[in-house]
Amino acid sequence: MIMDRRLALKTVTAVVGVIASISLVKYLKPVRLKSHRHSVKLANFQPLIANIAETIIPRTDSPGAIDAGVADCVVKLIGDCESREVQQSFVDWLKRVERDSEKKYGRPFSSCDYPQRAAILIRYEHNDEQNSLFRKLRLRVLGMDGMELMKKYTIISYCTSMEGATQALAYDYVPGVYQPCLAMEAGQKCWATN
Amino acid sequence: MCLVNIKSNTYDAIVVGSGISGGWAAMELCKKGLKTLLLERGRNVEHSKDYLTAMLNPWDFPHRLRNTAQYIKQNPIQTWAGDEADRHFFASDEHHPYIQETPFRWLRGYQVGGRSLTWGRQCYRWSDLDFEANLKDGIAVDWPIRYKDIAPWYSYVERFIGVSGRQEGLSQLPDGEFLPPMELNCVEEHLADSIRKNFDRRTLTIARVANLTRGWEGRGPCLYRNLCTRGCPYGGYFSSNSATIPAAMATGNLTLRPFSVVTEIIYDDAKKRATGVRIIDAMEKKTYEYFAHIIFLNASTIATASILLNSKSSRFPDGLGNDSGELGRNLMDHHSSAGAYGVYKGFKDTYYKGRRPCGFLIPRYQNLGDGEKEAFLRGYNLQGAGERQGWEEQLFDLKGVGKDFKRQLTQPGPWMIWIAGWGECLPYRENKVTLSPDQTDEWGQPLVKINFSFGDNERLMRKHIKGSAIEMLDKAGFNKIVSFDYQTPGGSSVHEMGTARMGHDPNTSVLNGFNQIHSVKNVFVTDGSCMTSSGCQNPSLTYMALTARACDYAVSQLKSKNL
Repeated sequence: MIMDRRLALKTVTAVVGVIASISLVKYLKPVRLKSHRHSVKLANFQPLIANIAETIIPRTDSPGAIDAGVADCVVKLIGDCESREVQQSFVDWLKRVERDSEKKYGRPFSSCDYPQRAAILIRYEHNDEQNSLFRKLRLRVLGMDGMELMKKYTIISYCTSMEGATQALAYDYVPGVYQPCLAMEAGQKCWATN
Repeated sequence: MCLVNIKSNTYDAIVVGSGISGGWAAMELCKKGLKTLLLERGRNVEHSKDYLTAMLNPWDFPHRLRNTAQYIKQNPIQTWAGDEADRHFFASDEHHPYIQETPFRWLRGYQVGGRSLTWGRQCYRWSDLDFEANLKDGIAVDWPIRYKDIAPWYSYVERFIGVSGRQEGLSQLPDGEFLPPMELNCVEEHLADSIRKNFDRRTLTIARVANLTRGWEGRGPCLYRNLCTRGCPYGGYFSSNSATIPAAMATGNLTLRPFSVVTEIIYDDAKKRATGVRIIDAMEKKTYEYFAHIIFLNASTIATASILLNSKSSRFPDGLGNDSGELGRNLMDHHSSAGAYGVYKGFKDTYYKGRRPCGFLIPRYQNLGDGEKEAFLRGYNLQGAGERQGWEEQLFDLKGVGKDFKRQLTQPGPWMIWIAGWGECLPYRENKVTLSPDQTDEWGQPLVKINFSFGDNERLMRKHIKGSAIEMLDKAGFNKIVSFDYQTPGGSSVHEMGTARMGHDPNTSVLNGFNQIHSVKNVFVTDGSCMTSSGCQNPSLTYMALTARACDYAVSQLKSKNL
């Protein structure tokens, strides 16, 4: 039990960094509030994230991003796996998407039709090649921008979800064999895992 | 297999460390009838039962296999190798600190089975090109053994662990006793053909791996999930947990004691021999002593050196067996950060089924002693793999959004191959492990300090690797070829070795030709620390063969009352 509490404490302090404290109660209170407020902040954008994700990966004959619960996963992954600064820049980008939508179409992103949504997002795409020097420099200096983060985490969340992996991709839980060169069948999906 | 109640503190033999070489020592000594105590500093991991993540799907992990930012910050070394699915088999930096005088990735497996759970499973024999290299180049000291001394033990080990691979008849990479090889896919066959046509002395062969292509010794076969590092419930690859420890247990001679942090070897000045080991119980934090006729030290290269350095007595004020001053020195690790990759336009209508848990090997072809000499000494082998790109590889490649984007994302991408060099590292005396005079860990033991850097020879080799990887891909018609050299720090190949080297002369080496400490004959060191040079082959097979050989010798010496 002592171990559990120690671990829990470590986890909580981990969220906000080390804060000097006088008593345990005082120590925990601001931490909880702060971390709570923080996670709410990103989660507030969940509906917008869901709509953007569905624009990137729409439902077709296979599940779309919303079917696969991508938005919750994107919120969790960006919230836990990216730095505060990156999270902030992501939130800023989400706000910019809304502003763009209002400016261009006079309505929020969620009220736009599919072509309008796609048009808004496409403007954020970069055309530099993955291995180009320009891209490397841009990433080193500026880091990934909002659209890149959004696409990255949408793809990860979708392709590792049960819906995405088993219905849009080919998921082979226990292959049992290795067959090195097979003639590809029509409509062959990409394997979900390496 | 479980934690056995410790009834006695005296055994015939003690083995320190339950990883790939310690597991072998325990099994061999038990099979030869010795009551053996196997000490492991970490928790028990029972085969199959304790592979908690082995059968999970990607969506079962809260972060879809990724480490969180906070966890990475606290455990940068552990998370470099381990993800959400297997990091529990790598020691956390937070709880097991060490001092990097220069950047060095010390990846540790603090549990029963050690790193045999997470190893790369590549099994390559050494040849006399390797064993004679130091003597011929006038570098460091000569190996006290040659290929003929170890060859039968390679066979002995291969027959038990099960190695799949293809015979190639190469003198620099002797063939072993193989199970049927895994197969190359079309793009790999294509590269193999091109290399055969365009380059003398170069061969592309399937990796030789301890993954079973058929059932073997009650284990396997491999089911091609490629989730080895989570532990394989099918016993599809060799580990201490799946093979040597159960075999040792079956003899009735093994006592396994997890949570046993060995702090020193006890040396008796009067008897002029080691009498046992002192441990701290990791949980209770109490000290215990255990005694035995012989001790096998298999804690892994850096930990073994630190235990010996910490074993001080009036006879050995600088660490047990350290008359030469070489203990802790000559630390080596293969460099494996340079290579190239490219995509191939053909074979659009072919694909594969199954996730082969290995790639291919292009055995060393430089400085083979047949006249052609490179600007560097020794050499490297190239390892790589071909596959069709999937969503992970195309994460930043696919443009656009919507239906077309989704279609591209979910269909097989272009074929690609990556190749990287695994290169020999010379033994530099100044690359060393020492103990901190003032900083200690949770168990009051001195923190390990590591000072390591690669030299010019390794840098020249890496440049050569890039060039030849590009050349081979180019000749085979690959496009978008990109070379890389990540300049990863030492430790990144997890092939650290050399800190208690073997040699003929007690003045310049720590161990003799049978892995005995020159001046303390009843202590055997058969993990990576015994290595006199590093070769370029993945080293675990050699550790296992040296261990089996040393066990055989130790028991024969015990029987003839020489120990």
